[in-house]
Amino acid sequence: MAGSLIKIQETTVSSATANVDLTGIDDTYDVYMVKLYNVVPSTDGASLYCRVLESGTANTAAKYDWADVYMRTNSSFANEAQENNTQWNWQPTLGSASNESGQGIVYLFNFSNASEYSMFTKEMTYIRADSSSLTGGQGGGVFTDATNCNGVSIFMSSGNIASGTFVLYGLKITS
Amino acid sequence: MSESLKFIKKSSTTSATSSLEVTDCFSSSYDVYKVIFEINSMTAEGVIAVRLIDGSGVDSTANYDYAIKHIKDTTSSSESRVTGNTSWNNIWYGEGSVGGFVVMYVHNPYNSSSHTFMNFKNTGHYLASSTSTMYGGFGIGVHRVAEEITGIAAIQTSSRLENANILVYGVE
Repeated sequence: MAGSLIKIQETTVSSATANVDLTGIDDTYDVYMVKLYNVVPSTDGASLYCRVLESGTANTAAKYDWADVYMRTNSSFANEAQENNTQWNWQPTLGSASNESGQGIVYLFNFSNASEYSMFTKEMTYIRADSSSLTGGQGGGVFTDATNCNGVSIFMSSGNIASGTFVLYGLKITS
Repeated sequence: MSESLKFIKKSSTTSATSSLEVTDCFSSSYDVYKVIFEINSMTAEGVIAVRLIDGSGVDSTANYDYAIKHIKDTTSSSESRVTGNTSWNNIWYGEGSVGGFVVMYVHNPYNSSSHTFMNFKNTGHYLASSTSTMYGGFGIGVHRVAEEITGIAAIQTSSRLENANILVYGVE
């Protein structure tokens, strides 16, 4: 099967930006993927958040659930989960010092299907701000509203995104 | 629209070795790479580690941090948390001809201004005192040197890696 991973949008942040909106999700592909790397917050210790976009507008309702295994080298792993939040937390307490940045791969499911909840899986790796330790999470989440979502809005819990690259792909899994 | 997952290079072994290397697979062409380790057979039970290749060859100095969640079908899960190691160790574990796989994303390897990060998942099988055991897991790692990394290697210090392939793709 040729052409299974297709780039849709790429945004590189080189000056402080409040949010990166990746749009273009529709029924063209079955699954979408977000690649992010070299992500640095303007505010040290801010967390990388995400909301769904509906017709280009971020939904701020308390309908975001997520759970993951939170891995780190400086203390025991933790199982973390939240329900009815107003966003997903993709990278908690991201560092901004030299050589501290965030990277990850996220798969998006059912976003354009108005009959199903939108869901994601994530694999994140980054340096945590308070300990400069290697940190990451593997898990997933759901937006508990069956609605048509055309993208994601990625932003920091406080302050701006200082730098980073964010790429949206379509993943064709049927012939 | 063009395919964004670009095959770059493959290295293979069909005889027992301590190091299977893919050289000159990372470059300025891509920032993120997908690396698939296909382990077809081991001469005996053993662990696979991963090291990176820089301008001086395979880096075996204490530059590697990693954290791994180990999952087995016979016992409860466990974790590894290691800093300043000479490799990303325990990336895979198995024996015999059942083999297994690792899917790893490598971030920023060729960026001399950034450390190299990775995340991975694995699956395999071995016999623990004759008990059939599925072994898998997932984890993260960082190589704490800001330098150009050009390649990647699977390490089996007792030369038990008998038949394996490493495939490297650029994620454009």
